[in-house]
Amino acid sequence: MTWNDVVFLLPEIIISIGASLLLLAPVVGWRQRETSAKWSMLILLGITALTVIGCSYWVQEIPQSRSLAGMFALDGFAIFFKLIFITAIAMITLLSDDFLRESRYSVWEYYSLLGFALCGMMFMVSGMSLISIYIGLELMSLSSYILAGFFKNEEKSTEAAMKYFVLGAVSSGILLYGISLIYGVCGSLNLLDIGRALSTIITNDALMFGVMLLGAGLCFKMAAVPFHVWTPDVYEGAPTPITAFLSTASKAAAFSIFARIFYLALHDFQLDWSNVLATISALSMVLGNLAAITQDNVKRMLAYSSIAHAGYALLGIISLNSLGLRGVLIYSLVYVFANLGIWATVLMLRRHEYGGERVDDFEGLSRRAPFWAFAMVIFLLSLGGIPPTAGFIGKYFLFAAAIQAGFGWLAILAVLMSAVSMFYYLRLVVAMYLREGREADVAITRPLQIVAATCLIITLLLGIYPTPLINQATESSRWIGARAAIIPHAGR
Amino acid sequence: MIPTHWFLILSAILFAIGVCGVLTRKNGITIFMSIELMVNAVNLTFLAYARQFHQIHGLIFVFFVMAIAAAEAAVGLAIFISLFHHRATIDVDEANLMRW
Amino acid sequence: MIEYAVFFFFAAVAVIFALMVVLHRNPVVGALALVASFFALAVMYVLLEAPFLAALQVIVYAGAIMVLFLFVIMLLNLQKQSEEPTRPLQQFLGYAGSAAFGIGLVYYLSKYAVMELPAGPFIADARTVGIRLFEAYIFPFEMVSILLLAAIVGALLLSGVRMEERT
Repeated sequence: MTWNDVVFLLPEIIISIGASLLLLAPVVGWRQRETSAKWSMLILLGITALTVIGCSYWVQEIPQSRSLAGMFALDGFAIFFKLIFITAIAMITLLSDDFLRESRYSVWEYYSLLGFALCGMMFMVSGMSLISIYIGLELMSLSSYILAGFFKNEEKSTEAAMKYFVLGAVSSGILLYGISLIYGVCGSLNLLDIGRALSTIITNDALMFGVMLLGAGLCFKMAAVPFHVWTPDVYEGAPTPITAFLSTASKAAAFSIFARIFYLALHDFQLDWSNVLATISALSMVLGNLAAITQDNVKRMLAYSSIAHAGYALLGIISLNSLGLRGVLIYSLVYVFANLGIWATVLMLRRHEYGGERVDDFEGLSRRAPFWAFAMVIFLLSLGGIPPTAGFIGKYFLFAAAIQAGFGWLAILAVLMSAVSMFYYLRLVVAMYLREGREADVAITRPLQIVAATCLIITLLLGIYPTPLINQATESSRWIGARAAIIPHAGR
Repeated sequence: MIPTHWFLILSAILFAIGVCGVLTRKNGITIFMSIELMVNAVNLTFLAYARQFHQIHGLIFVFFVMAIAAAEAAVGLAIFISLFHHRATIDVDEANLMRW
Repeated sequence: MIEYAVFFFFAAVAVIFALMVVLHRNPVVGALALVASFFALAVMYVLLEAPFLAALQVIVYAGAIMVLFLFVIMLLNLQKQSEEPTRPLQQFLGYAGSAAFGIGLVYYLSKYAVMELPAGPFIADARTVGIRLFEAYIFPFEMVSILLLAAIVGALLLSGVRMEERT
């Protein structure tokens, strides 16, 4: 460990120390101060974000951007995702504010666990060795299990935590076994070494088992179809801000690590996995979208929609080309912000314990809060991939990547399923604009307004003028693209 | 010196037994014990390969997996206790407030 | 030859007790069987020339984790709780699926994973592991300590008594 390593790891060091310090606040008698908890968390996230940006300039000066004996990379891909995670966690902090104030749970532990989860995600997305990826993944998952069950006086929350935990532990066992078999065949845990070994080894069946088990474990984390059973229940039962966390930051982390492992380590492992993953992707899109139509609970509907979105993101991973890699980056960003905006609107409707959770609760929102109803429409259009919004850019890249890689049928299916998804998104729009609502008040608080407005600006701006995002994604994916031997294309 | 593949076969058998426990049992604690069995099978594979390659990486991975399994056990059992406060059962199929 | 005898004896012990964990109805018996299975695995680690990990296996798994399991089983008084049998179809699918998985895995491993052992001893004592751990792996190590901290916080939050009403 040299000073160089410390600089590389500075964001993680800061967030882990900061999150640990948050735990100390109740000891000095600040237990009740929700506002100072929120601000401490936001300041901590701000410092971390600045450090990440600072590190990115530092890294540009050093060609060899790998640290800790090759276990850690601070490339553009990692920095892009780290900034998404930090922003998402900052927004979730704002979303949690009123929610926590009303319930009587200890806020400091809540924010500190969010910080630990962020630390795990940031460590994971930089991981160049399966060891560090596994540790980061477990830190993220463990914090999520606890946060899902955080409202322990509510039976639903505890039940969600239990389901999430049992299935999550099984999936990490499976993931580990996959890692061990890959280690056995390649003789290394480093992603680049695995990639190098795979280009010379004749693929055998032990390796096939290993890659399939690893893929199954990762598919669980991103809730793709055969491994999705936990998603609706956990999303419904967990406290709403935590559902927002699971469906945005945690999901983007799963996309990122899936892309990193498959682009860096398994790009030469052409045997069958892209067909298997294509099937998983198709199943996720079909099942997620069709099941979402029948849901009356908004949290469950969004859970199924997030399963479908895992299917779309998989398109970018199986296509294994420059468009696909950039598509994963762009899509993650677009998806995270559209989804966070929706969750902010759902939380505005939270009049009582479970308000805002049913589709009926949206009735007449256009009269009660016209601007936020309009924002909600934009977010839904973005999730559906309709042109003036940013969602279109993300889907454009993913579908184009799939076509370029020869998965034309999958791209056609994805377009069809996007059309199906508009059906249930429009159900919410119809409820908001065409139905008479019961005259109940909405709780539009300042933090929720900030989150929804920021997401709205990002979603619209990137939809109308996407060039900076595309350039940034091209820049960020360069390092991995060069390693995966995919030639970067210029422009769109 | 016992060759590596004997250890790998033992580990595969133990892993399959663990998977079987996860699939067929309903008691949360037993399912969790089956998961521990799976994780231990993985450790055996790692160690067998570490000796095969004369690499310390595999061995250190086992070390990390043990620490993480301990943390996971603490959190998992705490969740079971929390659920038991509500339900007086840890049968995973009884946990059906929300439909599957 | 004696090594093979030890290996097969303890492999049999590990498998039999593992089966007991999965098949026995009483979770206390299951937990104790799991301890026995972990001890047998510790013997495997000794055979794999990693005495340090064998010691850790006994201390961490058989000692700490399993005591925690037993403690929770006793605390919640689960040994008396009868577990309903699973539906026959699920039972059958579970057995068949895991058997197919295991047989397939064993078949492929015995076919492809047969390798010559390299010459020379594999040094994996506490000293070697410690030096590597605190040189190259220091930051993952610290990450795991953060993970343990998160686990402590979570365990305290979730398993404590109901949240006190704040005044």
